[in-house]
Order: sequence, then C-alpha cells, then structure tokens
Amino acid sequence: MEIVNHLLLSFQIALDSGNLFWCFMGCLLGTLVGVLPGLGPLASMSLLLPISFKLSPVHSIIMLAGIYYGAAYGGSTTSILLNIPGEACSMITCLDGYQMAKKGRAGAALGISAIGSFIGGTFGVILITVLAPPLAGIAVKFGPPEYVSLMVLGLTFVTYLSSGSMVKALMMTVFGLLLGCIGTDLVTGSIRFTMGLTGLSEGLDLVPVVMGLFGISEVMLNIEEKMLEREVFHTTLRGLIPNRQEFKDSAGPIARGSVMGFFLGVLPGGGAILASIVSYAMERKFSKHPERFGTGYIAGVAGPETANNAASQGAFIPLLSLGIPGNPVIALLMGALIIHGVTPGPLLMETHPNLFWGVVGSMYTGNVMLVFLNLPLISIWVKLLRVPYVLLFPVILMLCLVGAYSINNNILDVFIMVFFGVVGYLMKKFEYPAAPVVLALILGPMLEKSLGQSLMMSNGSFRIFLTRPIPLTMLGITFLLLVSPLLLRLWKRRRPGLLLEGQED
Amino acid sequence: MLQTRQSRDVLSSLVFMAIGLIFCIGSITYGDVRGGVPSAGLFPCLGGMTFILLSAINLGLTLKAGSAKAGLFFPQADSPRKLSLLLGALFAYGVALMFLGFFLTTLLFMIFLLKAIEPQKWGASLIASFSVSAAAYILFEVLLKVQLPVGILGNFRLWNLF
Repeated sequence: MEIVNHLLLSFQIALDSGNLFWCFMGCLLGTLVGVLPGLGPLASMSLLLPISFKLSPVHSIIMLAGIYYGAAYGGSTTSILLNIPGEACSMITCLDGYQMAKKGRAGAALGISAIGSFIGGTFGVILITVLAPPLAGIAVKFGPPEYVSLMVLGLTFVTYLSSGSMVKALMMTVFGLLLGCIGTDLVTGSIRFTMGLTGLSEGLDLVPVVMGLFGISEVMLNIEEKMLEREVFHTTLRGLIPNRQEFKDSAGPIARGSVMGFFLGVLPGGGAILASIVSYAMERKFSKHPERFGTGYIAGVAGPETANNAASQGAFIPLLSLGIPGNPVIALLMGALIIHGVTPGPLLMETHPNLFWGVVGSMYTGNVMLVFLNLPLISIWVKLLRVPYVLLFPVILMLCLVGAYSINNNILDVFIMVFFGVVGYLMKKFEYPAAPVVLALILGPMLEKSLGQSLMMSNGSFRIFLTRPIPLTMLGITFLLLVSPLLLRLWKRRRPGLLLEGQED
Repeated sequence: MLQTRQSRDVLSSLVFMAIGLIFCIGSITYGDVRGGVPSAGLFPCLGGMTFILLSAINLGLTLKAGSAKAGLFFPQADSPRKLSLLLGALFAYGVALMFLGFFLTTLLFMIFLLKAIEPQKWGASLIASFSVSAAAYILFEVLLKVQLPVGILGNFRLWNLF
C-alpha cells in the first residue's frame, strides 16, 4: 500500500509541467550526447552543471538524470549505423548491430534497441520504487565506521571492475583521494596543499576536473587522428519495427538483461558498461545458436541494450538510499545535489520527498519520452552524425571553457580544467583509468571525515573497524577482492603440478 | 623513447612515486594524531605512503614483465603540432577572457581552431565562428544570465545601434 502511495506521489510530481519540460530537455540532451561520439554523459553533465545552478534542485536533478539514462539510449544509434560506439556502454552493440545494418536490417536493430532500453529502464525504475525505501531504512542505522567501510568497499569494487591493470586502477583511486585532500580539511579547518593559491582553499571543484579528464583529453586524442568522413547507413521509420521472429529471438535476452542489468548497476563500480558486456557474454553462452553472435543476430543487440539501461537506473539506488555514488556519473549527480544544498543519504526521502520521488517519477516519464525521441526522430540524429568533427570540436571546447569559468566566475578553474585535460590525455596514453580518480575525488573528503569521526569514537584506535559486524564484513570483502587476483594466479600455477601428479598415479 | 609499454610504465611509476613523496612530506607539517584525534596530516600521509607503495609494485611488475611494443605515442606526424596549437589556444583563452571579454575571445578562439588545426576555408571559418559565438552569447549571457566577462566591449550591445 505504501508503494502505491509513493508511486502516486512520484507521478504527481513528475507530471508537473515544469518537471516534464526539464525531463524532456535532459532526455533530448542525453540522446544528443549519446549519438555524438567523443562527448560522454560525464563530460556533458559537467558542462551543463553550471547551467543547472539556475534551476531549482528538483528541475536540476531531473534534467541531469535524464542526460545520464538518455545517453545510454542514444549511444546505440552510432554503434549500429557507424560501428562507432556513441557511449562506452554501447560498444558491445557494435558487434551485432553494425552487422545487422550491413544486411539492411538497421531499422530493426534500432527499433529493438529502443524497445529493449524502454523495458529495461522501466523495470529498473519499478525496482527503485520497491527497494529504495527499505534500503534507506537500513542505512539510517549506519554510523561513521559503517560509512568508512562502505566507501572503501565501493572504491575497491570500482578498481576491481576496471579494465586493464588493477594495480593501476588502485593507484588512480589513491590519486583521487590525494586530490581530495587539497583545500580546507573538513575536520580541523587546516588549509592543505594549496601552494599559496587562495582559489584552491575550497578544494578542487569536481566540474573542471571532470571536464578536463574526460572532455578536453578526448578532444586532444581525437584531433591527433585524421578527421575523415564517416559512412552512415540510411534507414526509414517503416523499417524500424522488428519482424515476428526477431521479437521472439529478443524476448529472452530482454527479460534476462533487465534483471541482471539492474543488479549489476546497483554494485559500486558496476554500471552500464559491465552490464552490457556480461549480458552479451551470457546470451552467447546460453544461446541455442552461439555461432550467430557477431554476424548480425538481434539477440546480440537486444540483451546488451536492455541491460545497460536497467543498470543506469540501478546505479541510482546507492545514491538515493545510502548517499554513496557507485560510479563517476552518479558522483557528479551527487555533487549537483550538494551544490543545491541537499545532502543525499538515507534521510533524503524524509527531508526532500518531492526531490526523491520526483526524480523516480521522472524516470518513468523519461523512459516513455526516450522511445519517441529515438524512433521517430532517428533521421534527425543521423543528420547530426554527418556534422564533421572538425566543426564539432571547437564547439565542445568552447562549452567546456564557459562551463569551467561560470561555476565560480574564477579564471583559475579554466586553467585547472586545461591542466587536467593534459593529465587525462597522458593517463590514456599511459593506460591509467580516469573513472576511479573522479569517484575518489568525490568520496575522499567524505571518507576522511567519517574516518576522523570513527577514530574520535574509538580514541584513535583502528580496532573499531574490526569489532563492529558491518565494517568487519565489508572490509573482509574488500580484502578478498584485493587479494583475489594474486590467489587466482597462485592457483593457476599449482594446477599444472596437480595434473602431473594425477597422471603419474 | 616511450615506444614500449615498459618505458611508459617505468616513467609513470617514478612520477607517481614522486607525487606520493610530495604528499607525505607536505603532510608532516599538519601533524597526524593528537590525543586520539586525527589531525589534518594523517589522511594525506597514509594516502601518500599507499601511493608510493602501489607505484613501487607497478614498477616491479613492469620490470618483471619485460618489454612489449606499444602503439605509437603520436599516431600522426603532425600530432605534436596540433596538440601544441590546441593547448596554446586554451591557455590563451584563459588569459584573454578577462581583457577581451567573452564574445571577442570566443570568436577569435573559434577562428584560430578552424584555421590552425584542420584548416578550413576563410568564409566557412568566419561564418561558423561568428554564428557559434553569437549563439553562445545569447544562450549564456542573455537567456541563462551567466555572469561572463565583458572586457573591452564593456556594456556595448549590437542592437543598441538600431
């Protein structure tokens, strides 16, 4: 009964004309961002964050959330038509989506992508409605030691699930924590590592750092390559509906993608990319026709696209219920909430029910809007793909520069953004992941504050993390995650020896 | 130089070890724990030491793994030129913004990028630059009322002429 009341409240707020308008703007911008390669949701949300300051907290978060899950919808368009993923979470769609386009079935691929995304997204929102309140009820009982262990576990998950070297991912997590130390210490009030620059006394602002690491660095990498014309496949609205057999082949992947995607999205560090990869691998493994994957099989599009949208919704659970962001994009949303004077966490539902249920309700309406944005307007998005990058990149840079300056009207933020642009470029060249830096930058001050409070509770003893059951469990899982690659390597080394003994017997 | 994975990882590990050391040394002045209460230096000191340790582990793993060829650091011969021009333009934008104001700085910035990185025709460059600068001005200054520097143009508005 309470769930019904929550749903009614969420629709009442979401269907307000102002909220509908900003939800539409967020979905439109998100689709645009998803369609255009080179500008991800993280950089785009950071570009629009200064604009969102002019809006109310509800409008601001609804718009930014719309950009986030809208980008997941839009990214499939370039994957299918160009074989270039508009977003990282859509790269798996390239494998079968582009092959379908080459066979003249681009419309069906785009259609099932939009339908699967809608189903996965809606399923995710329903689960948020059901799961978020009880989880928040549990989290209210958390104290500083529990929050320390939860944040440490979340950061470890992000590094564990990062592609490439785990040591490098851990290094970047610690790097982000160190960057979070710049500025005024929240506990003692000391000013640290500012090098005499008064502009740094409030610490490094998230927006210039994110714009630099993801926006400027991406442009730098793209202009190094030759900016060639791209071949874009044509399609019409009539061809967007899959046939009966394609619907039948997609039903199972969509159902499995919805469930699996949502729960992977809830995991810190999980998110849409992991969900789409796992979905593809799972569908291929359990399919009656695994040989069809990679040749233009619709199940290879339906499953991953459903999973990445379900994961995008699932990622909101840790933020809305616990106040802990699970990935850098959600961390940016959290930054936006804090800037608007709203403290995310388990009490958010009580202190700001309109904001909480308004965001949840707008996800329902947003998913409906995105189907209409992605299907009938497909020809407009295709036209945009033809805009040469040589004309796009100056606009992207200009938006970054204005965005960085307008946060605090401080020219130092522009130079910080350019600096982190160079850092981000070098990180990509030297194969260090940037996402852990952003998450750690947001969580670092919170982690330090909670750590300080925990040590004050225990008179400076770290044993407090071992004597309470929740921190002990979470830190135990953290330890296992950190040592698991080493244990796996040792186990693999022992296996040849065991086989040899077996053979001799 | 920097054409193998090993050389890149060795260099980056050493740089990160130096950064960790800077944070460790810097945190000494802030203290660590006083009377059971953590001081401002504890967290950066712990972070710095962890950073040095992880960098050392990465260095060790790199030296043990041996040398594998990496992709070209600059994929095209003119990549360093393009990057230098881009970074110069971004830096110059920051310097010029307060003096020339938002509109003029953006206009010159766009023209420079469209002519210097992948040179376009003058006509197309000027039209595109002016259109984008004007659109940005209307969006940020007029509609969103973002406080942007006015520079040497002061409070001059083109429509005041009519």
